[in-house]
Parts: sequence; structure tokens; C-alpha cells
Amino acid sequence: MRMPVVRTIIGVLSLVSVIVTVILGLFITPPDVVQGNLARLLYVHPPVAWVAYLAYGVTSLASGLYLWKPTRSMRWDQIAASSAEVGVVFTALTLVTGSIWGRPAWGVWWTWDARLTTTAILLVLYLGYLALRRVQVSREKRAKRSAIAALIAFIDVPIVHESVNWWRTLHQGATVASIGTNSKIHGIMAWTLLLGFIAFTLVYVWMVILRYEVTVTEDAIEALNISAWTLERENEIGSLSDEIAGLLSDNKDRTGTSSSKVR
Amino acid sequence: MISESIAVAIKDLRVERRSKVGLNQVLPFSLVVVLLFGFSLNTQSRVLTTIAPGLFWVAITFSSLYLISRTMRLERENGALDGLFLLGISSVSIFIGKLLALLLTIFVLEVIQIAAVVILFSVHFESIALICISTILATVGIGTVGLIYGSLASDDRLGESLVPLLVLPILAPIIIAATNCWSDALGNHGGLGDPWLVLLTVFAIVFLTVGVSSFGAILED
Repeated sequence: MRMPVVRTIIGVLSLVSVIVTVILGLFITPPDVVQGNLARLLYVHPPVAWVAYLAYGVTSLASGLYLWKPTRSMRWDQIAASSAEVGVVFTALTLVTGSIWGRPAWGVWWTWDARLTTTAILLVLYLGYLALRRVQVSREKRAKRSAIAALIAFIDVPIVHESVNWWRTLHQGATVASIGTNSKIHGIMAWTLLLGFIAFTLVYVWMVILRYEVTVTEDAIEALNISAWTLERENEIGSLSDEIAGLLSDNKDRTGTSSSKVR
Repeated sequence: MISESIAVAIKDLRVERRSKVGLNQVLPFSLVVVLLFGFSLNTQSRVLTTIAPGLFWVAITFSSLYLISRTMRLERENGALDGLFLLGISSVSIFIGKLLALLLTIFVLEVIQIAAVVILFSVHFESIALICISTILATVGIGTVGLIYGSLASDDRLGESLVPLLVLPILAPIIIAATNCWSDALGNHGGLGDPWLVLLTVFAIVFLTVGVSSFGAILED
């Protein structure tokens, strides 16, 4: 199946699943016993955070595959770049939705909790990665350097997490991983949350495919521009050399005439 | 390899001795930063003493960024790096040599900065051993990460201005751990078994390994 067709199918599926999540999350599910309507934000926040982590996982994997010589291909670099870009958007969304939830729940927009701090550092780490990609160097150089930077970021994240974890912790523990046994979340609420995860993962896949296609097109345009520029320069050099040849032959004729005059 | 590394380190230190960039620009800058902290916090000495560890490490990190950018710029200018490779010096030796020189420069900066912090912020260290070891480990972490990213982004001016954005988030654990080590040393509730020292050690080892293994790949293109 061709890429645009796959993309369209995933796009439609993600749109439908997001709409169903919104309807279930806002209108069908009951309000939470403790948090009331505030809990509805949790159909969005954990899925968005999951997608951010997934995106960085994909970026690291693709970067590793690029650096490994047997699998080296520009395609991995383009996938890493696309995924990181989408990851940054979702990390920002995670922080925003978390803040909106934190204000009424904790009384503050922001707190120096382990997970919040790690996520904020993650955001700046990958903003740096995207900035590094904008440095004007050859494609191969850029691919290699960004792959190394992505892997360093990947190595750094557990250390960052551990350090801020020791530093302070307020964020609640993971509740989603133990969905089957946890009595705190069940029934329609659990299903809506699960649908949220599926919906946002589909949105992620759709966005990455779209971004990947844009990156491929951008690279193709760049290659075309370079070849057009080369052609232009070649023509210029060609016409210049014609001109020089013409001038030389004129000069030769002239000297020939003058020398004949002398004779 | 060791003699090559030492030769590279001596070369870098000689460049520093002749140009005096560290002495004339970076050192005054880091002292100004410490003074500015004093002004901005309204010189309340008790507050300053408590937060002195954080201020020290922020000042050192910012000042180190200058040295980091410079150390790789020197090699890019006039193709100096190609010269080193033509001499048959391996990338690992270049990495270790440059790191040694960079660390030595930052250590000198730190000694002077510690004196400034002690005098200006009325800081009294209870555990000198913890201060020394944590400072050495944190500096190795800062130098290593700095050198890796300095070489990743040193191709042009645009790349160089990126170094702080790339390095500072990576250094977040160093800032947290070193600050906490220092706070423990100030409050006399930390010894050489301080858990933050473990984190600093792990960070230094991980990034030294990353640096030694990836520096060649970064430089070869």
C-alpha cells in the first residue's frame, strides 16, 4: 500500500478515535468521586505523556539504526527528526495539560516534582536536538551529529530522572500500568482512558508519517536546488569559456593582421 | 597514547597561557556573576550562605561554557584539527588531552571562585573531603559533556551559540547532585558515603565512556 493511502487511513482512524474519546470523556463518563470533573483531563494527560515518551523512544531507536553501519540510511535520520519534532509538541502538551490539572488539584501551576522536572528537561533537551538539526552542514554530517546527540539525550534521561527523583517527589505513582487490578479506575473510565491512549498514538503515527513525507520532499527540493545551481554554474562557465575563446581568436586575428601589416 | 594526550593538553595550556582568555575574560566574568547574585539577593548574608552551593555551581557552569566553546573553536580555526590528525594523533588522545587541559583550567577557576564564595557569602565548609571530591567529579562531568557538544556544534558561529542550549539540560543532574553535595558538606551531614557522590561518579563514568567512544565519529567527518 502506498504511503499517502496509509497516512489517510490512519488520519481518519485517529480523528474518529479522538472524537469518540472527547465524547466519552466529556459527556458519557461519570465525574470522579474525589476530583469531580477535573478527572476528565486525565483522559488526555497520560496518553499525551505516553506519546511524548514513545516519540523519543522512536527517535533514539532510529538514531541508533542510523549510526549502526549495516543499517545506515538517510531514512532513519528522517524518521528520527520527524519523531523528535512530534515528541516536542507532545511534551509541551504534557506540561500544559499537567499544569491545567495541577492548578486546581495541587493549588499551583508548577511544582518542582520529579516527573514534572524531568519532563521539562526532556523538552529543552529535544528543543536543543531540533536546533542542532538546523545548523547548516552537509546532510550526512547533520544526520550523524544529530544521531549522536539523540543517543546522548537518551542516555541522559534516566540519570536526570534518577537525580530529580532523589531530589523531590510529589507526583502520584503510575496507576495505568496496573489497570486490571486497580480498584481506583474501572469500567467506562478505564475504557475511555485506554481509548485515549489508542487515539493519541494514532495521532502520533499520522503526524510522524506526514512530517516524514515533508522531510523527504524538503530533502528532494534541496537536492534539486543544488543540481539546478550546479547546472547554472556549468552553463555560466561554458558561456564564459566561449567568450574567452572568442576574445582569444579576435586577439589572434588582430595580431595576425598587425603582423601582416608590419611584414 | 598517554604521551600524545599530554602533548595535546600542554599545547592547549600553552595557547591559554599566551592568549590569557581564561584569566582575562572568563575569570572576571565568573566573579561578576557571583557579585551579581549578591546584589540581586539584596546581600542578606544568611540567605546567601544557604544558597551559596547553587550559586557557585551556576556561576561555574556558565563560565565553563565559554571555555568549552573556545577549546573546540581553536581546533576548527585554520584547520588545526587536520594538523593534529596528520601528525598521527588518535581522536581518543585528542579527546583526553583536550579534556585534561579544559579540566585544569576549570579547576583553577573553581579554586578562585571558592575563595570568592567563602569571602563574599560567609560560607564555612564542614567536610573539606566531600567538597573536593564532589567538585572534581562534577567538573569531569561538565568538561566531558562540554567537549562532546562543543565538537558536535563547533562548525560555524550558529552552531557555537547552540552549545549552551545543548549542554545545560544534559548537565541538570550535575547541578542538582553537586549542589546537594555542597549543601551536605556545609551542613556537616554528609560524608564520603553521600548518595549524591554516587550520582556524580556514575555521570562522570558514563559520559567519559560516551566521549571516548564517540569523539572519533564526531571529528572524522
